[in-house]
Amino acid sequence: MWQSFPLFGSSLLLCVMVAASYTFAVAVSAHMHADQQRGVRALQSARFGAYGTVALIAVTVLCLAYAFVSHDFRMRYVAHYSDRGMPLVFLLTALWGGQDGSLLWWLFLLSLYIGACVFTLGKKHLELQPTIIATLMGVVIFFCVLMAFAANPFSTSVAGTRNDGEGLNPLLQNFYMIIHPPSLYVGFVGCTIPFAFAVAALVTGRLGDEWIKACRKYTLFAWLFLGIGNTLGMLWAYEELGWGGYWAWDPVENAAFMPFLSVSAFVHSVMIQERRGLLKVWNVVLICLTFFMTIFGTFLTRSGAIASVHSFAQSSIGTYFVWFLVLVAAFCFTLILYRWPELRNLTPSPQLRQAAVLTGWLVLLLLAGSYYASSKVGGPAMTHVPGDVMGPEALSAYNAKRTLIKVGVFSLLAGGAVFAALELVYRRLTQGLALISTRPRIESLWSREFTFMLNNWGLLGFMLFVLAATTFPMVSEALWNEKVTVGPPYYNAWVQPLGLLIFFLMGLGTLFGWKKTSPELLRKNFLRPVAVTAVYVVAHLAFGKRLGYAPIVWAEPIYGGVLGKVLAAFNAITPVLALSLCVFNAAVIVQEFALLYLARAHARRTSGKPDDEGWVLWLYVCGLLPGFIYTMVTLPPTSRRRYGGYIVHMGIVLMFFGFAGKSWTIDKETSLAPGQTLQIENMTLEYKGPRMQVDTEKRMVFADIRVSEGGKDRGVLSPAKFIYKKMPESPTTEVAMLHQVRNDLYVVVGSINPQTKLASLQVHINPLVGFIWLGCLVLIFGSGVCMWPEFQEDESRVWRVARGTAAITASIVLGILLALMPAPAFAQGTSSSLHSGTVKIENEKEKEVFGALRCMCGTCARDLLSTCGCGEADETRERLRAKLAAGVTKDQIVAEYAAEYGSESLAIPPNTGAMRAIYLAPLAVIGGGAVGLGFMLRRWRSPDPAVRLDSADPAPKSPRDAYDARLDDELRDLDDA
Amino acid sequence: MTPEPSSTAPAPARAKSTKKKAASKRAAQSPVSAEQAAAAAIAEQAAAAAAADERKLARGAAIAIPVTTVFAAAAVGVVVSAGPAILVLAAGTLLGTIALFWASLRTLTGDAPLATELEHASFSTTTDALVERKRMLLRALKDLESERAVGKIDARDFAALSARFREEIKVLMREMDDSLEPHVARAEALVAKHFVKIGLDGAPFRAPGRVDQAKDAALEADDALPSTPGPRRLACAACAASNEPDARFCKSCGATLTAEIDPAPAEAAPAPQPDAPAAETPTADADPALAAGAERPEDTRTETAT
Repeated sequence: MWQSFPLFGSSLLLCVMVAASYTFAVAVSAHMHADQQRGVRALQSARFGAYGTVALIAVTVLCLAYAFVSHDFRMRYVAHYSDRGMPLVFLLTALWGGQDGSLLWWLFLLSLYIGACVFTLGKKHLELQPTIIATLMGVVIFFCVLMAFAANPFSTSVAGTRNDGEGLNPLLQNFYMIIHPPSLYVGFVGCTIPFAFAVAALVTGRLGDEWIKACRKYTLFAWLFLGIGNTLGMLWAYEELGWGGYWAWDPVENAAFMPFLSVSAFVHSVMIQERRGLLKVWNVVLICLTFFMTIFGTFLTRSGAIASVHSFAQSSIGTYFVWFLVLVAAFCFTLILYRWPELRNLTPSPQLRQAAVLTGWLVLLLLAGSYYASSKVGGPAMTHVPGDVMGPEALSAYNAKRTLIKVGVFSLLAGGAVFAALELVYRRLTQGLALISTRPRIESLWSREFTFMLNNWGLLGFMLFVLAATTFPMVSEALWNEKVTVGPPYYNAWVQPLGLLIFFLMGLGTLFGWKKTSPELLRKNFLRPVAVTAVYVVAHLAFGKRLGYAPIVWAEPIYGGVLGKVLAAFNAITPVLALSLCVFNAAVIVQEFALLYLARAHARRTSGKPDDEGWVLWLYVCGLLPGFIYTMVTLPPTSRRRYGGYIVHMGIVLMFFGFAGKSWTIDKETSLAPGQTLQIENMTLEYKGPRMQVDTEKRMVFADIRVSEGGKDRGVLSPAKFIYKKMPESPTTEVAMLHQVRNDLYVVVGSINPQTKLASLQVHINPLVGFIWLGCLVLIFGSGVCMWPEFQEDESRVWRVARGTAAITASIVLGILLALMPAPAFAQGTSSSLHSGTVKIENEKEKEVFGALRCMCGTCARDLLSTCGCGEADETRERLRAKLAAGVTKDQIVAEYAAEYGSESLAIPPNTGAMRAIYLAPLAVIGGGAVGLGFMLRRWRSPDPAVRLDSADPAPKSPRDAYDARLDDELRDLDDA
Repeated sequence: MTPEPSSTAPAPARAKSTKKKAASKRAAQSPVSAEQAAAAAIAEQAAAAAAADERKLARGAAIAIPVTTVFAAAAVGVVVSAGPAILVLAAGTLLGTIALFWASLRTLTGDAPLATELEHASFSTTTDALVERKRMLLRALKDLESERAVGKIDARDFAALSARFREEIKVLMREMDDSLEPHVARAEALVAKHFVKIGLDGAPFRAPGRVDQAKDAALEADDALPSTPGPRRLACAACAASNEPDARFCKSCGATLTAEIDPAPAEAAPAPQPDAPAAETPTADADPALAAGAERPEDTRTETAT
């Protein structure tokens, strides 16, 4: 249409940058003049500026939308992701289909959050507002720079205008592919808001619970959507990828999972700060870490730094992300050091600030220096055996020695450096200052405070473990010049003990009360869940096997040696352990709700209010849900958050229940002629024959299978192959499933011979999978209860309920709508997630071998031979099958394969030499964390017997005075917060 | 795109009146330049009127631009096609952007009036450690009560801990009241003056929520106001300690409490009702700003800390 439209779009991006910079400057000036009327004026101006920036971003998005609708193929992005034949809806969704557009989509979502945040802040938190706006604008500026210089969606193609665009890859036009990335985005982008609040708290020095309360809803919202996004990602993998599983520990999945863990830790630890004034440093660190992780996750996806199923085409934006990450980390680090005195409840003084900042940076620099120095010792790295000079054993011994020297030198230097910095710099600079903290203390270790600390330790440890494994290929290549792959078997083996530990801590924490739990009552509360669990364990051991849920399931160890055996032994008992922990947790939660109900009924009886528990009980009897919802809605806000949290826990229990079902998965592979049947468990699958359908885009070949269970007909399943006209060489696999409460029957058709009509089928039985999705729904409900808005007392109850329902429903529906907006071509490019082929595995032995090796065709990122559907993988499998048939053992095959392609061809890093760092390093940190936690708790516990509750004498009682009455009043009104 | 809801309806009028008052006051102080002052007053009035107009304009634009844009885009979408509709939408949003930045710049330079709520707002640069600490302790106490209710802490621990927390909170409250005393006295004097002015002479005024035991006693003796008793407290049969009305166990000895009513709360005199009705009626007519200032001691404190 217009000659300069692409230029106009690019200029708009620059305008956004200018607008955001202006707003940033005004907001900073508002902060600088906070003590004058000018400050308020500047703040008002900055608020207008923020709205203006939001509007300008909307204009930019609308212009790109117009470019798509008007088929402006001068723009590379438009030409790449759309064509003239696409319907309007797909044209609009292609907006955020590719890399450049999805960055703009990210910015757009962020701008929506900014608008909502500035609007809801209104006249509240005037002191924090300038910094919040400035921080958010800083993030906007980064994304503008990124788009203007590295990934501009408005850039024109060098080759000139095309007649028609390339259009969307039909393989990616499926429902779950469409929904899960945007919903993760909603969660990812949402983490920026709490980060801005934390920065504001740090900058202004208002480090109390003000910022935590102000951003609570945003944190919960972001957390919820991270959870929903991850679950939808699982659902997508399960429904579409056709390999029968839902989570492959792909780097991008991990990148989405890690912020979820750190936000989970945050929502727990803030409660301690709200009640105790403790953990101030920890909370700001957690929220900064979460923001860092979201950007880091995006970096992992976009830069192609780590091979992944989701990788975009490689581009230069990785560098920008790295610099931004460095900037964010340095900024947060300095800010936290600057506020060190306040965070540690010390008396702030300029001298102390100086000392903290200087020491912090000095330690960092010295550590870097130590690392540099240690990298220079120990001799050169060797990965391949140079000729006949040394054998593989000698090489591994050499590498082990080298690593040992490096680690030793580094530890010595680093220890010395930290000691020197603390003793020489910090001590000297803070000489003469009173460094006595007026930190509050905790009464007892038998308290929820303590279990929350444990929970934080577990969640962060888990995150660290995932982080270490995810980045290990990068680290290993940088440090040891050795390429490795960290495949799902590694995670599956290690994650079970860690995950179950956190799961156990979840139930444990619930049993404790704040401040102090009296031992006898704790024992009483423990007894019932433990009794239920014990009964369950006995029942499972007795009947499990008969019902198809064997309590102990052995699998091949991932490593040879003792470690492999220990891990395998633990993983073997995982089924019964996981399920009994589910029962334990569920019993704990049910008990909590029962106690709540009894307490409320009692409170009503004693307060002389009309006893309306009668009809609530009636409601309970008639339908559990209405009574339950009634109880939830009428709780005061603090309790509502607490019990909403328990509902979320219940959702997690259900999800774990579903995960546990993975142990009893049955896989079968077969070829059937029409009329033949397959018996699997108690189900009979009868292959009726192939059926062909054709539409404008594709040919569809179905294999109709009649399923019956115990003689009862359960319907017809039609797994299919779709052959698209655009890409006939790679037909897609369409899964057919029979969902049941007990299990899912999951059928994939590999190939159908057109002549003989012989169909090769893969049949999986996935027990209890449905509980994962159910758990997610419960989790959403629980989060809704937590986020339920607070009301004024004078509103009528009906109006309150209506308003609350409307607000919660609107926000969740809005979020889900944002999530549901399709992003069809999200992972276009070198994605190998298409899984167009089918894997053929004939027996257990083959499964073991293929599961330990990677497809090395060069285009399939990180896919194992047991899941990769590409042509070369097929050939490799045939080759290995022949070897197996010739009687070669698994170990020999694996060794030969590794010798041929290098250690990156193995599914997991070998358990030798420096490669052990992948689990030793995080485990060491987790162990160190436990020791640190112990020390910290010892400090927290007051040595003063008067404060400790162990002393038997009750506190002296003072006579009741006028203040008591006021105190009671305030206590009653406290819940409005 | 949601522009600032810049002001509420009666606000401009109030702003005008306060400015008028200020102007007349100044005029009274310097009779020499009475003419000048009168001119200044007129100018100020004109400025206030202009500010009110501008606020009205802003409110109008905040509603008109989005509504017009959406309707125009919908109409174009129906009549022509989706492409132009998007363009109309973009154009409207761009207009909104310009309006917003215009407002931002004018606010920054001081040409545009602030939203009335913000006019007298100021940042508090310090946090009130006492208020924060008190809130924290109150929350701790509340938690303790709910733990007690669901049976996670036994009577003995509960009594010991809650007594300690209460004591701490009371110390804090006392501290806060002491530091507030001069301000509250001043506020009371002002209100009293106001009462005289509006013809409510002689009505005693005390800031609600204030605790001063000497005065309390005197006040109660004076007025003999019928103070509504709170829920009756429970006396323990074993040790005669007075307990909360909803207590199940004695906080002193842990014995189970029966529902019998404490005949004469011995050690705890009936808590004086802080919201003495005498304070209620007049404040309704009083200057709301003053009443708000004196209503909650801790609020006053937060303000004075600025």
